Amino acid sequence: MIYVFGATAIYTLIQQRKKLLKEKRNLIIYLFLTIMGLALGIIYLMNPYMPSLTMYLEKYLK
Amino acid sequence: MEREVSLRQITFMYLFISISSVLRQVPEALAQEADRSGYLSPLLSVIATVPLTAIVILLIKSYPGLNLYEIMVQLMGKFLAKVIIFFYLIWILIGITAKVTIYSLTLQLTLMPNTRSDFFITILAVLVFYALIRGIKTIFRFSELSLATILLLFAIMFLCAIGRLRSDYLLPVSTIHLKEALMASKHVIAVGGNIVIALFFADKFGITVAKEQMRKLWFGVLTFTAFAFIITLFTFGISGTSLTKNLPFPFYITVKSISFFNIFERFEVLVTLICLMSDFIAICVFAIILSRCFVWLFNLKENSFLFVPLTILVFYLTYYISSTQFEFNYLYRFVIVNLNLIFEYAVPALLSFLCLIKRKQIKKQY
Repeated sequence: MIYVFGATAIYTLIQQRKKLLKEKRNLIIYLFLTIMGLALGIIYLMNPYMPSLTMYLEKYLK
Repeated sequence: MEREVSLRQITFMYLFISISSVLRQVPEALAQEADRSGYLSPLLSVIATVPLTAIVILLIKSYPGLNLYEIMVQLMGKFLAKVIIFFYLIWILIGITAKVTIYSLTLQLTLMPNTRSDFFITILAVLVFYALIRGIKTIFRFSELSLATILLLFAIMFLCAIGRLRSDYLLPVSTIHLKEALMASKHVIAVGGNIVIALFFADKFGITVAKEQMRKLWFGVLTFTAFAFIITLFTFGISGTSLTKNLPFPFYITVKSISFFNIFERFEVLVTLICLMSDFIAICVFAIILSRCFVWLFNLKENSFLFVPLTILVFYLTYYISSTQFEFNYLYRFVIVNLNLIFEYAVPALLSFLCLIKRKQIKKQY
């Protein structure tokens, strides 16, 4: 999925370049969200059985 | 001028997105917290949902043509409004992630146990993306058109199930159980509070909102209460509380025992489909609100470019926040319900309090 998402992100970047380059903050937000999403994806690919946030909550809030 | 969204559509959307939570989470949570008296909790929930509706109406009437963010700016200034919107953004992000998780878990639990969750989420992402491209009117129209059919289907199901209700599963209930039932009603209140979504789209209603339009919100809240009560009553009355509290989707098991004069059976497939449709609309609406929160937070003029990065983010966040049924149950009961109470009740209550204080200034302004 990470490749599909990566390709879609690049496609959107090219397709919506006018909107994104019109204002600097558009591009910054777009890149920030994309990089964050892809980074989460890469970490998940490396360790798919990582304990979830709820598991930590359950463990430490009891 | 034609309104982009009407209050009637908002009411239907509110009822539509509440269906899946009422069917899946509410009966189980009520059975766990209030045992046999839990089916009375939906009726007690009006203590909170009715004042919330009054608050929503007050804010819409006091600030015609303004949305939640603009109302906040008027009442508490730009900085505080942005801080609160940031927290709303986090809440919506957690809410949408939980919806995506439960959508795939429902499919795995009911129809396709051997299929991986990423397949369901990918299909959902494509459908949501397509719906968002078509615009918000399409999403609201979809819930407006399908709600009546769904409610009719439930009415038929309940007529078929009346004979199977066991009074010993529901009675006796006395005033001793009132406290438990009242405390458990927070689970119904947390779902019923979705009416606050009307404020996110309040700028789409136009400057003048007629009294008849406002009455739709009251109709929505009362229908929601009646629907939640009937669903809980039938789940408890057919399956019993001990079974209801231990099942992840008790209404699904309850429906398995219903047949239409021994001719039509297997209504549970329809229940799953209704849940999926409800989740789909909820995810679409949450996605629109999420993108609007970004627009308000960063003063953006466009939001269409946000959909792809947000899809990637939500897709992977589903694995990080909760991935199994047990984890989801914990997340829902201890995190989402409490967050809903804060963002659906506490913040609008604060806004209405400020609105009442500043009423004189508002009257001068408009």
